[in-house]
Amino acid sequence: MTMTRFHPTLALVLGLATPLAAQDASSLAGARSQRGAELAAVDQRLGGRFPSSVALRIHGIIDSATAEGLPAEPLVLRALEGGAKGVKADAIYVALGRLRASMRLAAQAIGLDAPASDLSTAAAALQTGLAPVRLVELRSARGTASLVVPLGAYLDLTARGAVPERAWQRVIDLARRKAEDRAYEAIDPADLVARRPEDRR
Amino acid sequence: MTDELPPNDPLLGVVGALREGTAPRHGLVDRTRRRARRARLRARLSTAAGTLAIALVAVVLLRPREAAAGQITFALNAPASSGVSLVGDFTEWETDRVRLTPAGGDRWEVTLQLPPGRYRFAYVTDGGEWLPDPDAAPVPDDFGRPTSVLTVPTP
Repeated sequence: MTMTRFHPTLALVLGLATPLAAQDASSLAGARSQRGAELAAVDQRLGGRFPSSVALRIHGIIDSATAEGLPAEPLVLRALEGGAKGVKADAIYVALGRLRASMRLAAQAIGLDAPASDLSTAAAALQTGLAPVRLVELRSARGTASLVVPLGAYLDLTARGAVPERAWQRVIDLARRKAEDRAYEAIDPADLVARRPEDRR
Repeated sequence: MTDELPPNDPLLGVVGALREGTAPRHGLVDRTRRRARRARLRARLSTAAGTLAIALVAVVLLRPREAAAGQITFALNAPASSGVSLVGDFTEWETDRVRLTPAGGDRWEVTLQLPPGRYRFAYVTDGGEWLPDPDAAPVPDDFGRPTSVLTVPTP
């Protein structure tokens, strides 16, 4: 009786599970193949710019990052930058490791599905000391819009001497008001610099 | 007043004729009102059409500017340089891909169309000197060379 009752359910579960499993396997294979193609393209870009042993190690860092779902592009560009600047390989590995760690943290805050440009800009902001919770706040205020312009504005303002907390307040205020991108560009860093030593926070 | 007149009184004919005469006069007022309404409607429609035309002209005029929103001119004063290259994320950090051209005096410049995003870049003189962009925000650099950064907003 029980068995008779379970039969259709079991059949339904099996009927659904088999195609789903096949679909999962197929999408996993697709993702693997896509990642494989992406890594092959990375190799092509690194080849000729680095000695093979250095390229291999860089590839390893990028491979582990993409396995976590992080984008390869910011890491490739940073490696190429290091190569163009003629620095020692160790400096490139350290820079890539830092960037990977920051992007990982950024992805936790704004989502792994965020565009590579959002993740790398968010990573840069984290490296200057911005708290991850601020990224969550910004993601929520901006909805699905890109975070590059507000985060870029924050980074530029602080690089030009603005007090980080004041710069952030201005940026998040604009984000909450759904301001256009040009509004961020119009922020004057001179309004946000420290007037007193105690303001430098 | 007509109720007091006998039914065959000729005055009734006059009153009747007057009434008939007044009917077209009411119609004239109506037509005049209708014409006035139509004229107002036409005026509104032409105003709306004018506004639409202005809006379309504005869109057409603004479109190239929007399209050119990602067009960036990179410029640098580099006295005594025989040549300057622009290197950055958008050149795959290749030093010979984008050359600046002389723009008078010590000034060098090049204009590129870049998609929205944030880019790290620098200038490299033919003498091998790395220079930041004087107008762009400086950026902390892992590699100890001057680097600048540029944000291209979404148009």
